[in-house]
Amino acid sequence: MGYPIEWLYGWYSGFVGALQAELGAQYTYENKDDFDAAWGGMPSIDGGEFLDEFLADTAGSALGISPVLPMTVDTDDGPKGVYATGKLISDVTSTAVTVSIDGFWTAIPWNTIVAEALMANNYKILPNKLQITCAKIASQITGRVITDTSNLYVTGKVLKDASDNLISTVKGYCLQGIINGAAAAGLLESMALDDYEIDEEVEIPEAPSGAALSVLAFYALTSAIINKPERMFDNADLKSLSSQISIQSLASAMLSKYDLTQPGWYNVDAFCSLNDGVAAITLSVCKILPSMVKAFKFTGHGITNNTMTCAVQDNNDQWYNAWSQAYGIGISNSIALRMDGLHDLGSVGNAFYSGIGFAYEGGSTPYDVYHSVASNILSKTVIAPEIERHDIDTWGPTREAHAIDELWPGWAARSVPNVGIDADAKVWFPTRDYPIGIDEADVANPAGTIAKPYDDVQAGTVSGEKTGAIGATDEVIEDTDVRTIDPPISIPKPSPKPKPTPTPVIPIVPTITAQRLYTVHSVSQSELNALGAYLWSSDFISLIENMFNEPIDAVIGLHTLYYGSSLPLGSSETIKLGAISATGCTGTRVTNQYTNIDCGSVAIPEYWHNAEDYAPYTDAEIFLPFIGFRKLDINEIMGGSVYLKYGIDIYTGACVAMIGVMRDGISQMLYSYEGNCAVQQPVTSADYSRIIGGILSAGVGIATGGVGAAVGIAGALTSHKINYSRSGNFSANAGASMPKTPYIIISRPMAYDAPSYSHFYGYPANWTVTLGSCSGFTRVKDVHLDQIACTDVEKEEILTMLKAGVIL
Amino acid sequence: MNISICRTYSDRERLDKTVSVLKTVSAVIKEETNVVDPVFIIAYDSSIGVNFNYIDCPAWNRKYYVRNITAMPGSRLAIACHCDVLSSFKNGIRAAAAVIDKQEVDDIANKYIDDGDYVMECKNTLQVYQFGAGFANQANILITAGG
Repeated sequence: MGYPIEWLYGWYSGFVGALQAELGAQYTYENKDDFDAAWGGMPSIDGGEFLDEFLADTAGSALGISPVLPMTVDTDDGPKGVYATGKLISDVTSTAVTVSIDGFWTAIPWNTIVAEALMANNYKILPNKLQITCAKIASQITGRVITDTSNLYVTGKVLKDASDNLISTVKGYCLQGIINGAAAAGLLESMALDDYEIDEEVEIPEAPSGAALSVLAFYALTSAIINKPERMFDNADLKSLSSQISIQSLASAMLSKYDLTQPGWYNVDAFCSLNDGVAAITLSVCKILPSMVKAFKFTGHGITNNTMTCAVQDNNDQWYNAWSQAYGIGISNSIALRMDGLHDLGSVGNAFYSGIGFAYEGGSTPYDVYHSVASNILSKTVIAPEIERHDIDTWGPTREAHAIDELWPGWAARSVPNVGIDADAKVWFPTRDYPIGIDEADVANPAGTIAKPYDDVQAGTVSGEKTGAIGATDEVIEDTDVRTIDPPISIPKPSPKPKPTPTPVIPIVPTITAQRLYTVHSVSQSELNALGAYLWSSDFISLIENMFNEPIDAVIGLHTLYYGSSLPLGSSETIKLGAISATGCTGTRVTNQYTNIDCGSVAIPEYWHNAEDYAPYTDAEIFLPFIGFRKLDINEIMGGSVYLKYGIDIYTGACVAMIGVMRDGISQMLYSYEGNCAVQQPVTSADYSRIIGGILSAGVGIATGGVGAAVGIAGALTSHKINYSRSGNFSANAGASMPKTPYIIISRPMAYDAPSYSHFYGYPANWTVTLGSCSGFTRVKDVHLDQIACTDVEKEEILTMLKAGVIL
Repeated sequence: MNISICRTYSDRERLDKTVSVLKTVSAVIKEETNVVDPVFIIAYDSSIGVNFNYIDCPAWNRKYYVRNITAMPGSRLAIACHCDVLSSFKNGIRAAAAVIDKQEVDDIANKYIDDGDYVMECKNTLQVYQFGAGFANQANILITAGG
């Protein structure tokens, strides 16, 4: 009883430990040969038999042999010899048979589950059916503590020597069934967590006790992150999001953002913690292939039987969830699917064999569509309509890998190497190898021969059947108009960058002190109280009468100054009023008139990575404490880091905010705004009147600005964008009530490109190249057709068509 | 001359069309014609019928769309064509230097050019980037005469 975590990976922890000891840090492989070399001589360790059996089983499955194999079974009342699987299946599927697993609620028809698991174990994999069944059943038992399931019973007899494969299969299916069931029962929804920010550490609040609930907590987290893309991706930063949570990482999870719309070096990290407390960090990458240039995932995994999740965005900006589960082997098991239902699967990452994975469309009804990768690919037209449906009953994981090979030859070679165990490892993602929608085969054949006939059927061109029906042979008629053609013109793209010049810098504040005319102190509240008492004492009045009309005249000013981390202060000393030392009154001398605040910098990243990130589409404003909102030119700051410093006159509170931008390696101070960060304290009645007068003047200014703003808005209504002000100026006294930390507000529009927009309409280019350098839809502004030997009428038609748009 | 009777389903805008050659037949030119819009006369072939829409004329180094097919006496077909200039001269077209206005492939397209075709929804999203430091403290500053 009570092995909540062990249930999950049970024997696996020992397996992992031994494996780590055996293989050390090197347990990622670049190809299957390496994998085989490492695993071929695997020592016999606890749980290791599972691998052997599994591989043996799946190999048998791949060959399509032995639909029913005998199984040697001992029961608790003695050996039973060979227990024919057919008989076993028959037994457990009989309604008269009780099948149970330790720790599970016995009042459920486990026989169905086990029967199907048995069938799976005997090379008739019915994962979908099994899981659906499990889901239904498990919804009844969600919340119950799952305990050890080392024994499998059939009709009250313990199948002591039932293969680990069988038990593991049952466990796995039951676990998944529980998760599915909980999801179907809506329990996961109630445990869904809040939205998270990029790179935010997520703590699961009060992780429930018990394995089942822990698993559910994990899955709830996963659900919140993965299965609710419409929530997560409300954040404009989440255009390209991947998240990876290992089932072992119940305590925390990290969302990782990989913005892969541009090639570059990216840190790829993943983590998982084993149940024995030994942290393992593994890194893995998934190459972004042509058809997924806008998509990304994902993930890294070590020697754990964990679940991988990822979010994938396809070229039509449709988000999909993909989920796959390693089969206890612990090999990186990455499958990225393009699931728009129209094109080939574009990406397969590091996967030596796929395991059984599941995929379903995000944003619709989670959990309802639940297929294995193989079945999904082969039986569901949504994925690969041109692929013949196979009998999925005979498909095991290895067969699925074979299926992938059949569908996407060379997929394994496409994978990129794991980067090893290095938290700071960087991986180059060579995105945009080829244009969207162009397969490598096409690229390899620049003549444009299309390997698959009828790919580009133009509806309505000719009625009737395809010509294959009358025995026609397909061929591409080559252009016989061979002429000497000038070599392609290669024109480098311009890369205008400002020539570095001496960079204007924020000056160092001057050191000015008029120590003999006045003295400036920083005084605490108690010191201020003591001074007040002293000022109005009879001794002091009699002394000061010789110098001032009123005692308070010795005080030139008193204000509350807002500042950053520190002020330039000297030592504590007795305050002097004129020539008189105020006995018992101390303050800390201010040694410099000026100070500054370095507010730091914030990066303003592009989001759309096109013109929509700039004016007039995107706006930027900055809130400056004690100054107000100010407009920033988005074209000047986008893609850079905005830094902000305040210079402050301690004596008067006058402050100036200096805003600069670091971009393209150049720092530029671009804006400065003035304000006041001192709140004047009334010391005399005259002071009070002055302060009130100042505030009223500021108020009139604000009101005037407001009327003007209203007029401005009315006028702006006729223009493209409405200009408005978030606030007017405000005085220091009012500014003290405002936020004290500056921030920038970026107002981004929501782009709305039609699906396959570029395929039909293209993106702006304004670039001079040979047309042979282009592919796909192309429209030219102008072209010289000197080298074509055709009639003038034909040239005009070519020119007209090129200007209208052609498909190269 | 010999011409190839073909069928294609490809867009007219494609330079590389997928073409199925049904049969190569002997053809004559109908009356006066021109190389851009010729009319070929061929013998009717029941195995093909009129289920073709593309002609390859190697003698003229041109490929043609079939604009119309007219049955003639003597079991003949008159095929009115129009030159497929894109496929006929695709090599020359590919070798031509051009200023590209629109391009499907990101490598050549420059999405930072705003040519007015971007479509935006009315709604905006606001994103706040807060600086790491601000006016975190306050102090009473007293200025007195003398020193």
